[in-house]
Parts: sequence; C-alpha cells; structure tokens
Amino acid sequence: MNDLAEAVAALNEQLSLNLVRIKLDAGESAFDILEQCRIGVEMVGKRYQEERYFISDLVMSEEIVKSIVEIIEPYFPAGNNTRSEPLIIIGTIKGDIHDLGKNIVLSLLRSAGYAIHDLGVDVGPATFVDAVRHYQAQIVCVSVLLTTCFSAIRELNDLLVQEQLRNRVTLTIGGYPVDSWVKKYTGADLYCRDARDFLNMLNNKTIILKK
Amino acid sequence: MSKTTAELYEERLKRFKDAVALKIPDRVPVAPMFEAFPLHYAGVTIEQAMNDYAMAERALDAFYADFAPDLAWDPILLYPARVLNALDLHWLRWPGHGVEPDTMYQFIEGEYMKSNEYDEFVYDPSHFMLTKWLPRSFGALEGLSNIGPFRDAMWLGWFNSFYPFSLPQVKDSLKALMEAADELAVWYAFIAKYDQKLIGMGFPLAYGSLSFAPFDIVGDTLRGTRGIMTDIYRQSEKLLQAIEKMIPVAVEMGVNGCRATGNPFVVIPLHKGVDEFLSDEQYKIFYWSSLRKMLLGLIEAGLTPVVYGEGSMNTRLEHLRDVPRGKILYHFENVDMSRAKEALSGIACISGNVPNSLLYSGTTEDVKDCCKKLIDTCGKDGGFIMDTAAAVDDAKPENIKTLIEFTKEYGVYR
Repeated sequence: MNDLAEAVAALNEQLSLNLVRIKLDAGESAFDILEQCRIGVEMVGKRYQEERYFISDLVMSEEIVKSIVEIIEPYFPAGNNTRSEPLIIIGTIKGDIHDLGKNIVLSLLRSAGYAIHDLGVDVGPATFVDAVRHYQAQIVCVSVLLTTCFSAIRELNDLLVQEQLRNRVTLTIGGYPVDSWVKKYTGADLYCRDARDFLNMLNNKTIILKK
Repeated sequence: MSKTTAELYEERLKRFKDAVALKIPDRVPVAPMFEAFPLHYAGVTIEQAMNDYAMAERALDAFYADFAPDLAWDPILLYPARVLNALDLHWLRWPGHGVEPDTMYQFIEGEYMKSNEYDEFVYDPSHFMLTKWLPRSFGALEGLSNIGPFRDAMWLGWFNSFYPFSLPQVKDSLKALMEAADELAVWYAFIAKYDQKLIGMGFPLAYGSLSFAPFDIVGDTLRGTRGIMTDIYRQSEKLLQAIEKMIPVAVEMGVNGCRATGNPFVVIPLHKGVDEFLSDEQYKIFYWSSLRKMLLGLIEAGLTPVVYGEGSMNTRLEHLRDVPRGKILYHFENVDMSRAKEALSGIACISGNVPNSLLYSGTTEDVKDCCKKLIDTCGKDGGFIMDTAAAVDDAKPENIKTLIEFTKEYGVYR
C-alpha cells in the first residue's frame, strides 16, 4: 500500500486529502489517485471483516472517499473496477423501510468491487421479480427487520417459483431477526445476520450460483 | 381459594422486583414487551388501533383475558395517529402515512441537527429544540423557527422575545400545536385509564417511563447514524460535550415520567452501542461512560433502569458489570446468554433472548426447548427474567402461551 492508501485505511481524513492535493499538483492522474483510494477502502473492508474495524469506521471511510471524489470529481470513473459477476440486487422487503443494514451490505460489497443494484426500500415481490429479469440477477438479497414482513419474503419466493425464475437465483435474506427459522419459513436459500459473513461467502465462493 | 387481583398484583410485582434485586423469587418471572401482538391476536389492525383507542382497548382486553404475564404493557407503544397526522411528523412512517394498514410504524433516519450546530445545541438545548429540531421534525411546526430566545427576556428583553408571536406563520404553528395537544391529552387520558384497568386485572405496569442513552439521544433523531459516526472522527470534543449535556436530560426524562406514572421502571432501549457499530474504545468513551452516569442518576433517584439492549452486545458485557449490585435489569436481544450470566452474575438481573423468529415460525416444542435452556443456563439462583428478544408484533399465539405457561411451570424455585 502506498501513502494515500494507507492514510485512507487508517481513516486519517486530513492526511488523505492533503496527499490527494499534493499528488494532483505533482501531475498524478485522477485515475491513479482513485485506485490508491480504492486499495485503502478495500483495506478498510478487510479490517471490518476481521472485526478490527466497525460500522463507525466503514461510515468514516465512505466520508473520506466522498471528500476525495469531490476534489477529483471531473475524472471520477463511476462503476470502474467492479466485477461483472455475480449480479446482485438488494432491497428491503415490502412493508419494511429500515435501510441501515441494507446500506451497510451495499457499501461493503461495493468497496469489495461487487456489482450490486440497489432497489431501495419497501420493495414488493413483483418489483424484485421484475428486477431479477431486468438485471439478469443471480443473487437476490432481501433485507428485513420486522417480523411482520416475513410473509412478504415468502410471497417473493412463491412468485419467483411461479415465474420460473427460482431455479436461476439464490435468494438471500439478511437482518437482525433472520435465522434458520426464518430461512425455512420464507423458503430462502441462505440467511446472513452480518454483512461480513455475506461478503466472506461471496469471496470464498461458498454461495452456489444457480446459473 | 383463588387469589384476588390485588394479591396477584402484589405477587407479580414482588416477583419481578425480587429478580431485579437478585433475591430468589418463587419462580422465574415472565415479562415480554408486547407491541402489536395483542392487536393481531384480536384481529384489529395497527391502523385501527392507532386511530381508534376503543379498538385498541378491546384488543388489549382480549389479550389480557387469555394471557397472563407478570408485567403488562399498556398501549403506549401504539402511538396516536391523529396526533402524528396533525403535526406531520417527518421521521416516522405509520399506517395510512407511508406504510400499509397492518404494518408497524417505522423510524426514518435523517440529520435533524447539522454537523455545524453542536455549539448552538450545547449552549441552549431548549432553544435549539424549539426553533430548529421541532420545525425540522414536524411540518406543522415550521413556523416555530421564527421564535427568538427567551434567555434574554429579563428587563425589557421580552419585547424581542414576544414579538415573533405576532407573525402569521408562528400563529399557525401554535394553533396546530394546541390542537394536536388536545388530541394528545385524549390519548394520555385513555392510557392512564387503561393503566388503572390493568391494575384492576392484577397486572403491574412494565414501565414507568422511557428514556434513552445520551449517545442515542444525539445519534437517533438529532445527527443520525451517519452523522454521529463521522462526528466521532471529525469533532469528537463537540460530540462529547453534547453527550455530556444530555446526561441530566436523560435522567430527567426517566424521573419525570416515573413521577407521573408512579412506577419505578425506566425502560431504556439501546440502539447505537451494539457490537458492530463501535469499537471497544469508542464504546467506552462515547457510549458507556455517559450511559453509566445516567443509570447511576436514575438509581440515585430511587428508580430501576430496565436497559433494553437491542441488537448484539456480546463485547459490551464487561463494561455492563460496572454498576451497583441488584439495581438494574439488563435485557438482551442477541447475546450469548451463558456468557451474559457469567459476566453479570451477582451484579445485575438479565432477561430476553427468546428469538422473535422462533415465536413466529417455530412450534410450541421449540419454544419449550428454548425456554428450558434459558432457565437452566440463566435461572439458577435467581437474577433472570423470561423475555422475548425484542418487542413482539407477530407470533403464533400458541407460542406466546407456551412461553408464559412453560416458564410458570418449569421456572419454579421452591
């Protein structure tokens, strides 16, 4: 890791921003700067996975990147360095508008370079199904906090079966209340209570993609 | 001869208080927090209960006729929709206002205090709440942003303090506020009447007041999660000042509420101090230090803090030990209960952990197994109260029944 990547990884905002300005003055390309920044963010994600960093640190790293991007904005190549597979869609299930957990998964996966489309909050089964078709999604991540919304996930599962898409996607549920009981009840393929575990599964390829 | 409701009331209250005081009661108390479950049980939607207090009452009557926990929750957690509608509250969605009729109201986070407003907030929290937080939180109260400070109303300073009340937008907001307060008074009267009804049925009330950890006060509806997490890095001194300022406020919230209800239990739902959010060092400095001072303040006022831990708190157990013996109840949603028992044995009573998902989708046998394991692990020599992991909205009625009845049978000490 070079100096900027290290400063980002150490969550030292002032040093990171100073380094960015110095590098721009010295003629380094915005793309190179961004790449160093990405390596730093990747390290933040890694430390989070290792339980050395916490949500507070993830949030701060995003803020630092945001500030850096503001400086080099005209050259910011959105969507660069993302993997093309697996295609993931995520949203909170209909009736549930708590999005903190969903956003943590989003930022963690994006920092690790995964292609993940955010469907937002209060997403109905039909919208999920449309998005599966539209994005050719391979993994559907459903975020849920309320027990009252479990039945909507079951409806999503049923609708995926009905639309003959169920054998093409891995249905994942995430959030505090999910466990093996909820997995069984909803018909999901797997459950995750922690964004870290999900990223580990993706990285280790322990999630078996259906197509 | 069966016991009178007055005897049942005393017996239940004593059982709960004994458990908290680390005395061995006659059996493990069972006291889950119920939110929308009584409504579902009685076939009343959340929207109906939030709008029609008589329907909420009927639902709770039906519930308490069939279920007998040791402490009872009145309909305080079913907020009055008419008040929320009239004030146009921004940071909540409720049935008929952003969510479906039978979906629980939900909190929408936002930044209701900007990152550069700490000094203003700390200088005069009341004025900040009145002229910044209220207008940003309630659409109908936007006019209050025009009100000037009263801290300089001495001598003829009141000329300036009074003048803004001539402005039409201030008048509109005050009118909306007064109308909403009238409805709030109706709701409060309903709650107070229902509390008497519960006492008449032999149920002590599960709460005397609700209050919040100082870090959560700043983080929940003022700065928001994102805001407060970045403040930890960018302006830690100012954040600590604001948190410090909120300690007596948090104590005051608890004391005033308990004084009004005559009940000593201050329920404190914990939000942002969970394992995943903060490092141990951050937790110690920003969360626990102020929470501990708050708890000591409440205890000194003769009250019993019921610390309602939401989320995972496995790494916080060592900190939680640093409190006076037998004065606090720690409820846990998601911790290793054997570790919690080991860490807090002889220090504080613990409760919670029966997964709401199990109550929703498991069988009665599963519920029995879970409760048995908890009683075997945590119930030894007292200091344990049977409770669900989180407030119950949806569950199979037979599972709730089993949770309560099994605890009564299996949890007997003598």
